[in-house]
Parts: sequence; C-alpha cells; structure tokens
Amino acid sequence: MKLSRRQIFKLMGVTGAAAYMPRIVFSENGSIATGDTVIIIYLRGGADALNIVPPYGDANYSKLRPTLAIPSPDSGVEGAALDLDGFFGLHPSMAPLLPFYQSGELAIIHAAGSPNPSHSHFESQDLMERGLGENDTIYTGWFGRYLDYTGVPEEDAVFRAMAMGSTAPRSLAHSEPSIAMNSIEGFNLLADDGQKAELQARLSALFSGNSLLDQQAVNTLDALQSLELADPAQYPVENDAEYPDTSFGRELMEVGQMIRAGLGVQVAGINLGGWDTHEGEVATLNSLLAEFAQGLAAFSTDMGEMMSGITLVTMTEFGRRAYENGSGGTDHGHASFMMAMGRNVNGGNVYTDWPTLDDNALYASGDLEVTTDYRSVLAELMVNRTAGIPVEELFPDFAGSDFLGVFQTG
Amino acid sequence: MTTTRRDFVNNGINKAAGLMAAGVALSAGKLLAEEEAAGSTSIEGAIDKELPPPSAEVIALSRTCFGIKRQELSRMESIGIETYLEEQMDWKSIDDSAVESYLQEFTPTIYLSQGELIDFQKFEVSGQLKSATVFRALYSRRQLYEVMVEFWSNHFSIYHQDGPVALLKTADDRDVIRPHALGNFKELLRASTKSPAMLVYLDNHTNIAGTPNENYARELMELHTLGVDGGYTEEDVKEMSRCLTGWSLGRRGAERGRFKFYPEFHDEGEKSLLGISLLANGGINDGETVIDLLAEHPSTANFIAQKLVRRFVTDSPTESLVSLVADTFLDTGGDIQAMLWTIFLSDEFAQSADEKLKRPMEFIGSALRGVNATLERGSRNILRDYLISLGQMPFDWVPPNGYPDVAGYWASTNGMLNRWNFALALAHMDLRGIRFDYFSLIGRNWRPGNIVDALARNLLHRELLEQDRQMFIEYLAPNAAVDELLNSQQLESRIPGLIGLMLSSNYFQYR
Repeated sequence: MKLSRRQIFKLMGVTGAAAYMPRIVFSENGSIATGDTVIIIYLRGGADALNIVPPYGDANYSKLRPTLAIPSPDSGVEGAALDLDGFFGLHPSMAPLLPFYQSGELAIIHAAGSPNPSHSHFESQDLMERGLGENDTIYTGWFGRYLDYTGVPEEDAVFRAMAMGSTAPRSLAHSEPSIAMNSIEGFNLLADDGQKAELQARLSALFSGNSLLDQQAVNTLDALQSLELADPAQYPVENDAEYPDTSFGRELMEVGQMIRAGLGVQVAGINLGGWDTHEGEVATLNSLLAEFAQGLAAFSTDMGEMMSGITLVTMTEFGRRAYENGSGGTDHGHASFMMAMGRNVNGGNVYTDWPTLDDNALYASGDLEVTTDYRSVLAELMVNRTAGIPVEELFPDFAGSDFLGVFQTG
Repeated sequence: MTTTRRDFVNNGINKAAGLMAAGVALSAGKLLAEEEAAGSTSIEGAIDKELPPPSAEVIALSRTCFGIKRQELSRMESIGIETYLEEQMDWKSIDDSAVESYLQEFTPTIYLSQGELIDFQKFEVSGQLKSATVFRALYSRRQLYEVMVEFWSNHFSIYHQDGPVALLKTADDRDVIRPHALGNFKELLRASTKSPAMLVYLDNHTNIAGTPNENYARELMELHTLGVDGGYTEEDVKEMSRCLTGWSLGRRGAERGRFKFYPEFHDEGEKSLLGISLLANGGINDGETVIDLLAEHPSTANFIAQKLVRRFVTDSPTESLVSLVADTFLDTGGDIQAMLWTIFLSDEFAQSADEKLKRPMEFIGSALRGVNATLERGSRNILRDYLISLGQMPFDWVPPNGYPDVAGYWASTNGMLNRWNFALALAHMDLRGIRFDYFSLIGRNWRPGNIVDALARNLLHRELLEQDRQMFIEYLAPNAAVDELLNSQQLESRIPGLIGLMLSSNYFQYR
C-alpha cells in the first residue's frame, strides 16, 4: 500500500490533466457510468427559509413576523420579495439568482429538512451530513457512502472528494481521506525547487505506516504532485462572471478551476456560515444572501456549458421558528429549504407540500413543519445524476419516498 | 506490490481510521458522532503504535504544556511527575513576572477595565488579547494553568469578531476564565453566566420577557453544562430562556459594558424546568437557582469529565475513566484540580502514548519551545498567518462549541501541509523574526549517527525506529559514513532540512 497513486501514476506514464475524465465513474464491476460533479454547499447555522424564500401568499406569514416579514412583491415598497410563482418570492438580495430560476436552472425545495427533532446546530448538522434521521453507529457521510459504493481505481482518486477549508465536511467521509485545501495557491510545499523532490520522498518514507496521520500525509503528497501537474490556477474565470470578493466567492471560483483542470473532482464541499440569526436578522440576511446568491450565480455563469455536468445543491441543518423573537431575529426552528442548480435540474419551480403557517399546522411549539425529508431530494440527486446507489445503502434509516422530479434523469 | 490502502481498509484493518481521515467537519467540533466515531477509530491499532513510545515523563509533560522545553523535561525527570505537576497546579506560586511585564508593555489593553476599553478600536483590543494568549502559551512558566485557560476558553467559547464582543472578551478572559481555570467549576460557570461577552455573543442581552431569545439558554445546557444528551427537553430550553430574561449588560455610565440585571425585562411568571418549579417574582434568583442546579447536575459532571479526558488522555474516552472523573466532580463540588489529579494519576494517562494529536497551537508552540526560538516583535504576523492557515487562531472559532480536540478534525491534508511548511520554514530560519541556535540541539559529536540521536533526544524526546534513524542519517550525510566527522559546511547545508523533516515527522505530531 505504500505503492501509492503517485507511484502508479509514474509507472503508467500519466502526466497531468489529460488523464482525467471528470464525468466518468468506474463502478465496482468495472463498467463505466456517467455522473455529474456534485457541489454541496452547506449553510451552517440554520438558514431562515421563511425570509429567504418568503411565502408571502400565506396569510399568517406577516402576522407571525410583524417586523421581519419580507413584503409581498406587489406591495411596491422597498425590500419587497421578488415573485417566483404567485405564492413564494425571493428575498431581494437573492436577485442574482432570479434569472437562473426563470431559465429553469434553479429549483427550490421548501419546507424541507430533517425529521429529527433536535434543535442543536451540532447534532443536526452531524446527523444530516451522515444522512441519518436518528443517531446510529454509521459514521460515513452520505456522499461518502456513494464513493465507497462505486469505488474507482486508486490512481484516480486523489481529488475525488475535496473541500475548500481547513478540513473536509463529514458528508464526504468515506474509506479514503478527502482533500481539504484552504486555497489552490496555498497548497504548495514551501521549499526550494531543488529540494522539493527529495523532501517529498523523505516525507513519504517517514509516513509509511497506516495510521490516520500516515494516510493524510500520503494523500497530501499525492495531492501536491497532481496539483502541480494540472496547474488549475491557469484557468481564468470565463463569461465575465463576477464572484463576490469573499472567501466563499474565491472557494467557488477555485472549485471551478479544479474541475476545469480535469482533476477528477466528483464532489466538492463548501461551507458558508453566519445563518444563526437570533438577532439583527435583517442586516445579516441582506448581506449574507447577496454574497450567497452572487456566488452561485457567478459559478454558474463561469462554468457555462460545463453546468451540464455539474449539479449544485444547498442545505442547512434546520430552519428558524415561524414567529420572530424580541431581538429582531428568529430562534431555532424545524423545516428550511434546499436549492438545486445546474442544467440537469428541472428548475423554475418551488417544490413543496406546503404545510402552511396555520397555528395548528406548526411543528412542536411554532416551527415550520418538515414535509420533504432532505434525503428524498438527495436520493433523487444520486439516482438521477450519478452512477447511482441503492437508496437504502445511501440512507439506511430512510424509508424512501417518491421523487419530486427536481432532477432530470439520465 | 499492489496492495492499496483500500485493500487495507476493506480488510478491516483500519477502516475506522480511514473514515475519520476523511474528516469530520462540522464547522463545529464536538459531536456525538465525532466522539463515538473517535471511539471506534482513534489512532489506536495503527502502525504508529509501533513507534517506540516516549517516556511517562514526556507524556505527562507534553499533555500539560504547550510544548516541551528541554530544561523542563530534565526538571520533571529529576523531581518526579507528581511533584512537578503539584508545582504546576499551584500556579499562583510560580513567578511569571517576566511574562507579565512584557505584556504590560506590549499588550496593555488586557489590563484595562471595561470602561477604559470602550474608547479603543476593536481590532486593537482583540489583537492584543490574541497576542497575549499566544505569548503566554509560548513563554508562561505556568504552563498547566495556560493549558486550562485554553481548555475553558474553548468550553465557554466566544467568537471574537462578533461585533462588540471584540471589546468585551478581554474582561471575560481576565475576570471569568483566568480566576477559575484551576479552581471550581461552579464558580467558573457562575462567572461565565454573568459575562457580558458571553451574553452578547449568545444574544441573551436581548432576551426579554414576552419575546424570549433562546440562544444562550440552549447553549448553556447543551454546551456548557448538561451536554446534548444530558436529559433536557425543548420545553426546558424555553423555560431556561425565561429564567434568563433581563440578564444583560449596562448601557451607560459606569455600568456600561458590565453585567446588569433588568427587573423590568424579566419574566416574573412561574416556571418549571429540569424537575423543579420556580415561584412567581423570582427576579434574578430564577437564573441563579437554575445555574447552580446545572453546575451540580450529574449530567454536567459526566460531560465535563468526558471533555477533560478527551483533552488529556484520548480521543475516545473510556467509560471507566470518565466515571471516575465524574465522581470526583460530584464528590468535590466541581473541583477542577481534583479532577485533573484523577486523570493524571490514572494508568490510562500513563499509557496513552500517541493518543492525542497536537492541535495547531500545540504544534507551533512545541516547535518554537523545542528549538528554544527567540521571537522578535516582527514575528507576530508570521505566527498569525500560520495559526490562520492551520485554523486555530485563539477566539476565532465561530460557533459556540469551541475548537475540536480530536485527530479526525485536525489531521487533514491542509493541516499536514501547513505543519510541514511551518516546520521547514522554521528550520531554515525563513520565518521572519524567528531564530534559534541549532548547534545547541545537535550535540558536540558531529558524526551523522550522533547528530541524529542528539536531535531525537533533544527535539523529539523519543527513540526512533531504526529504519527512520537510518533515513535521517542518509538525509544528513548522503555521501558520508555513519561515523565520519562532518564539517561545518556540511552541517550548514543539511541540518536545517533535517530539523525540518524531524519536526514534520509523525514523531513530533503527538502531544
């Protein structure tokens, strides 16, 4: 096992990007199937679906949120919602995404979330990223189980699962390490060119065990080499896309470069935090949603035609309480929203079995009820847009449900 | 040789470690799953266990400081582990005036009252507290104390960049965490519940009767006391938030930025939570009563015990040691030193070699302390940059659960790469403002074998596997015999790389 990908690489005379076909997946029996590159954007902190995709058509909405409700599109006031379908609207800071909704490349799933009643950020994120409804002894991530299920030749796997940031999200956790990198530029061994090869060889000899640390070290060395060969930074932003000048914007841009460089990325995880709006929600969402929407719009614009091989999905651990609190914010709630973006999405639609905000329809003591299990959306994503995995393998404690039709088949 | 890592994994040899390797990443750290996953994985069973383990003294010292200094290890070896740790427990008796006078000169805002701080720029106040924290980790002689300050700063984690918190955290550090870090948990908890920085960070300053804000009430139970499985309900969270209505801070005059209870914003109704009932018109006593109840709760004892064992012994705490420490908590009313002794005197502690991965602060600290580096003021920026790339700048963890303390989180590709880069740059004197004298580390016998042995002893504090020893020798003197005396030119060209490799190696990654 010390004969790593790196060495196999050399033996095979493989050099650089041309070796990779990003949409090709080798399944366990050796047959080849196609699959999209999946980008998972996790909104950490519990994003407030009710103000991001406001149900202005629900009469109770403005009553429960006298100071926070986004005005209906026909109100004519500043900060009014952008209409989607006559019932739901978009927060005005989400304007950059409206064209994608209208052109059918963006779908929204409302009142979606986990059936688990936990209102703890940490427990809820953790369960959701493991793809579970209840705590269990399964520690792989939901996407990680797909990676393990399909399996690929070792030498193709280095950047198969990657994340921007100092560590990879648990949703990617599988039997191999995932790549975590702060940035493309920063992922570089700082040594004189003359010494690099020797240092890498010595490090490789030192980390020859099979511990967690050894695995990560070997993976790091593999990644350094692949990255140097492929040089993803050479790919400029295309189609005049304008990413927000924030780390979220840069991370999206760099994931795009990694995909363009043919590094075999099957899944990339990106976090965007700051959604825990217990207080001062108006100002927070105004700026955070602008960054979020501008980032996704820029990515989709930048990737252009390649969006026919990329599907992006957003999720969050829970939504916020239906009624506002006394701090100009909202406390932890239950259902929230998801989004799917790409040319393989049946967009231009808000998918929901709207539970309503009627008093007797609220979950527990005042939350939006979950009517779509998040796993139903993810299961459809995996079945329709990847090489596939039986739903019971992907989500062992999910009974399954009919697909909503968010994703195109084949 | 075609065996891949996957084969190993599929053979079940190290399945769990692989899972963890994939990273645990919640922007949060401690989670049920993470603990349990750590339990099924940890680094145990891996080949690293076959590295010759360091001595009991090295384990004890390394776990209780920010990096072993040679003279401290010698001192522990001569007076014994227990006597050494007794000295460290008695932190007030350790003269730390050199550190304090340095800080008085260069980070004066950490000594200012809340009233005085109001007039400063946020970045100045928060920057000085960060600098002082790193400086103390590197130089304080009260190392165990600083370790516990760091532990509680994460337990009661407060994000520094949350608006006014930048101006308030300084007092929280000085008046809440530091007085009680090696004291009593109940006192610490009481102080934290009246910490303006905490009340603002978790929004309790806006928690008022009629429209309560649950944020702090929830985290107080989930993260500070009972733990997520500690037996409280959603109804308890709501009732707790009612108990804490009106707990805020003064807005003007001498009260500004200090804890203040506003009776007019307090919910004076009856309350019922965690098995007790509170009569109407309890005022501030509502909160105080419940906070004391939380401080004494068996779930709290268990939760705190688990976190301490995770900090000092292993990523996967055993039930037996946790319950011993929890018993100590309950028997002593939350005496922190007593709990630490239960851990330090346990067999599990002595036998836990390589069970704990250094986090970035400990990695950087142990490298700088290990080579006995001198830091000029200009080095501040470079340390800041590395702490940011490695992901552990003090007080910059955003969610309220604090920096994780499990290998599954920190052993990432990004973590490995930045550790190597720091080690190599330090060894080559490429870190601006940071210097050290490597001649003091390599001994006086400049034969390759002797130099490698001296560095293993002085820097890694442990024996090497023969294959690694040979590799280091070969690196140091590719064309020389093991017993050939090297000249200073040869040393100059190879010693920095050798030290960089040693600090990069798995021998140096565990605490």
